[in-house]
Amino acid sequence: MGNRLKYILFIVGFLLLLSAFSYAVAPKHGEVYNITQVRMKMQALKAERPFSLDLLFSGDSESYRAFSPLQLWAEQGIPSYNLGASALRLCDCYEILCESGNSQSPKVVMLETDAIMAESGTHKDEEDILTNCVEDLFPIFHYHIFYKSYLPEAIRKKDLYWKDAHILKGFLVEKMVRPYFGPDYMAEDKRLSPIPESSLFYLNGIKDYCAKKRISLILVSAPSAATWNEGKHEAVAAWAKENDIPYLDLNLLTEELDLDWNEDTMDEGNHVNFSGSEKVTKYIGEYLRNNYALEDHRGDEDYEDWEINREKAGLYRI
Amino acid sequence: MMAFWSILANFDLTYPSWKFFALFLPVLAVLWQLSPAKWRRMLLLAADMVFFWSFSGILVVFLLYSSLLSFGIGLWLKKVGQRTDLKRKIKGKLKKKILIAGILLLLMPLIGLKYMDFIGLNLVRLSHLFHVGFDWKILNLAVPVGISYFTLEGISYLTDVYRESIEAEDDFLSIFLFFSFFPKLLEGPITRYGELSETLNVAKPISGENLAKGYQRILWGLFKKLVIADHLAPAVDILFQGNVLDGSLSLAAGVFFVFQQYMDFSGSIDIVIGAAGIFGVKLNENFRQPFFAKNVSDFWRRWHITLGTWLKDYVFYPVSVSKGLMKLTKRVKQLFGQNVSRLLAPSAALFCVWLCNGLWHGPRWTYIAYGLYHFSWIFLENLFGDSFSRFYKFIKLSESSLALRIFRGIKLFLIVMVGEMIFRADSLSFGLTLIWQIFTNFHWKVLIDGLGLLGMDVWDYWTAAAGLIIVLIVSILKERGYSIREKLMACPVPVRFAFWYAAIFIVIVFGAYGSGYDAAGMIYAKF
Repeated sequence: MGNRLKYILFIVGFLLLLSAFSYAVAPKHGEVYNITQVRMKMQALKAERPFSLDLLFSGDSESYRAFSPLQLWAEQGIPSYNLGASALRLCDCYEILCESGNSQSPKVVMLETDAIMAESGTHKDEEDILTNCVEDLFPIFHYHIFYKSYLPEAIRKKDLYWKDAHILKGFLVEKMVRPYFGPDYMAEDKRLSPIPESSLFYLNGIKDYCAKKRISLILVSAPSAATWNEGKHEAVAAWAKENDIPYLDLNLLTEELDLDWNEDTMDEGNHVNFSGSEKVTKYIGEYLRNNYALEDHRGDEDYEDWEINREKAGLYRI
Repeated sequence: MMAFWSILANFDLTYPSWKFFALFLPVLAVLWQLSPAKWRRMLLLAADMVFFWSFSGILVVFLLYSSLLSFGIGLWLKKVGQRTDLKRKIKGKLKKKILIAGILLLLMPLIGLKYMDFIGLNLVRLSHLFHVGFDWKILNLAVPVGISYFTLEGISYLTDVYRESIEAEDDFLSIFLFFSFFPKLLEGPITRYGELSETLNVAKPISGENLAKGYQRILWGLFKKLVIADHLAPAVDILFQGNVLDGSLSLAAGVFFVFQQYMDFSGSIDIVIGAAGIFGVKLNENFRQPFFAKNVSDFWRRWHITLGTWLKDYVFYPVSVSKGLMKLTKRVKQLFGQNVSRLLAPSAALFCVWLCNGLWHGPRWTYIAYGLYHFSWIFLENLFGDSFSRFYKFIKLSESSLALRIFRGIKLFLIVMVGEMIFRADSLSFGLTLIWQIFTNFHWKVLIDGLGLLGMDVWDYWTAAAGLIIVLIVSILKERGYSIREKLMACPVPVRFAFWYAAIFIVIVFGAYGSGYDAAGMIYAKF
């Protein structure tokens, strides 16, 4: 074989391999910001029985600290899963949600709004046009850390999230209390907080996806004194109204929830703790029961494992 | 138009950047092949200018200054050397004066741009000590990349012309190419005109073999830099932030930095040698398995080799044979006897070498302390080296025994590590505090709990560790004279292809770059 032919073959082979690797690791529904978290969440969801979930929670850490599927099961018999994770952006939520459609057919999706108000860029430097071109052509260069989502069992057993992922269905328990002493963060605030363009794109994507799959989409703002405010509320409420999507801002309902910022937050008002999540989930459960025809699966043979998990967790009584 | 400026503004040509090895080098290689032979050197010079300009812009004038000065002084030295109307002694003296003037003029930009603030601030401190009113306004001048490297190269060129070990070059393009050759601009290796000009000015077409070997070497460098050094970088940054740490974390700081530094610098040099090799230019090796050295002196014959040999040739020898030192040696011999006097000249020259070594790294007391720290070890080795050999003989321990080699390896690593901790710390007192903590406040539990807080996840630790094991295996094989590349060349094509594909994808997948990582700079590019 001539040297020149060898070099050409080598380069062609390399480009083919690059394309194959790129196809294998690239997100299937657009771009994502945090490929590791997205893949970990998708792996966790795969452990659930196919087409067994009626409700999915989506969002960032505000979501997986506030909404407890196991409590929702114990109180309402609604099988659900929390797809939220730390620092997820809306593009990540969109990818996870779309991928969840391969194994689940939920009737309702509750999208926590903190991710909506954050930038949803995909970790690319917009100025670096050349690098972006190469990454668009061969996404392996952008998503090369995909492997970090694969953790050995020994590590998973110790990992805060993984050790109870299947039992708690994506919810994270934190009982620590670090009170919030700040002012009334939802007091009248005229600051304009528009939804970032990048988020709007994926928000519309989520809305369209839900419409296509005949899923009821609900926007929900988990109580967060440190990150939420009136301006953000107005922006989300305006979008929800315009698109005829129900919007539930729990920051305006702290009295109904009986939420106490001295007791119910783990980090000075940023996230609710376990006690806060109990109040939030209780309210959400009642809201869903009153407004949506979601079946109570308690006593259903197919959902026996939910009872087992509830007992294992030892957090909620019927 | 906006897009064009955006592309230009983001045209990062640091060695580990894909734009350097996958865009700049291939484009240059294609143009090189398409150019007629007589235009290739001009093309190379244009590439050098683009490269330099991307880092330092208009400061290219300093590169031009050093090149013009060396060219002019070199020709002057040659002219004086050829004069027949002068006596040999007078000619010698005149040449020496020209050489000294040339060296001082070469050093001026380096001292002015890089060391003035350091000198000024220390004069202020000194004036406070003597209650003299002296003030210094910080200049913070921009320093062109590679100035420490091309200044040394200029000095070596003039000295070699003075010593008549090379002939002064009368083609300015050759000299300018020597100073500005882009692969070595940022991190060396420090080259000599006599060696580099042999291949630099030939400008032969790129051969398939050179292209393949060059990129193989670049790949190895990228592996060291991206897979190992840059994974360790966040942890090193956190550990050396300035907080007093538990001894266990101080030890981790030292160990991590030694590995980071070695992989970063030697990896960059691999990229440099590979890039130059593509164009048929042979650069000197800068590393030769340094941690397999027998002692500190041997370590420095294997680590940053080109700086060591430069200091030996242009500082150690001239100081050793200087008239002042000779006189002093004679006097000491009279006063204290031959044993002491025999040690004086090499030790004094050695002291100058290590002072220069420390200062060369930059205007900081930590660098000076680093240089003098290594001087102390080498001085002690010169003093007691023979005694140790006699002791090993006495207890019948072979110098090549595994136990002794392991003991030496650990001892050397610890010595180097302490030096690197001084080198990396922001201040001498912080560096010494970190070292002190290792011996006085050490708790393993703090290390186990703390590893998760150093900006590295479990995969980062595994990747860096696996990478280091691979480097260790390759180093052992190289030390034993086994060439993996040659063995590989004898394999069938599919096996070779599979090997290189695997190697490329290991770097692509496990490299610390892009999304999720902050780009780590090149450590030795700032010197």
